[in-house]
Amino acid sequence: MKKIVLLLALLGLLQADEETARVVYDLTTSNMAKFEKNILKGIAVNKAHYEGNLKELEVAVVIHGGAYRFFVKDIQKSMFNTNLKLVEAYPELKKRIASMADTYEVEFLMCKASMSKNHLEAKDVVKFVKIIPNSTIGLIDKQNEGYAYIPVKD
Amino acid sequence: MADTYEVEFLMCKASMSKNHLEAKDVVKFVKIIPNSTIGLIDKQNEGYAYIPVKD
Repeated sequence: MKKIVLLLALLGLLQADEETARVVYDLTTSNMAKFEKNILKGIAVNKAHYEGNLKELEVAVVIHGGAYRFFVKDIQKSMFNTNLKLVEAYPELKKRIASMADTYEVEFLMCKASMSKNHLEAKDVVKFVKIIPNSTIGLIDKQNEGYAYIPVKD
Repeated sequence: MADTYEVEFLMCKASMSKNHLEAKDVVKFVKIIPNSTIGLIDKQNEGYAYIPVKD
């Protein structure tokens, strides 16, 4: 009897696994419009698509290349403060990005290797971002866990 | 390709209007999907490898 219960529980887990789609975005773009379209809007649209099909979509985003700028605590004190268009849009953008982590449970992973080049330390980055040794390791781990690879670049 | 090799062609619906295309304008073996990201997620989640073919 116990074995049957265990078997049913396992089948249930397998079933749940089949009902979950997974994606890791390889985010390197510095382009604000592209970031908005593919990450802020895209993830919301795609989450809704899977929910409509009674599935879940688990999302991870690996941040490197030109994308560090979208995840700083204080844009004015960052090396991106000369980009006036970004500085102007940032307060609103920052709220929307935070809601991706809160509402949609998006996992944000930042490549540590190029943080110094972007004049960033861990304390300068928004708190929902997890710092990983490098982007390749993050992309390997996520794909090995079954996440689909989607690049978002310039 | 579709007939002999059973290649499955999936077209991203999101940018069809930008290309002045409706479903009726596209060859009939093409299946229209909501957007390319969803197609790439589904195929990779089924175990298909990702290979970009771009400019």
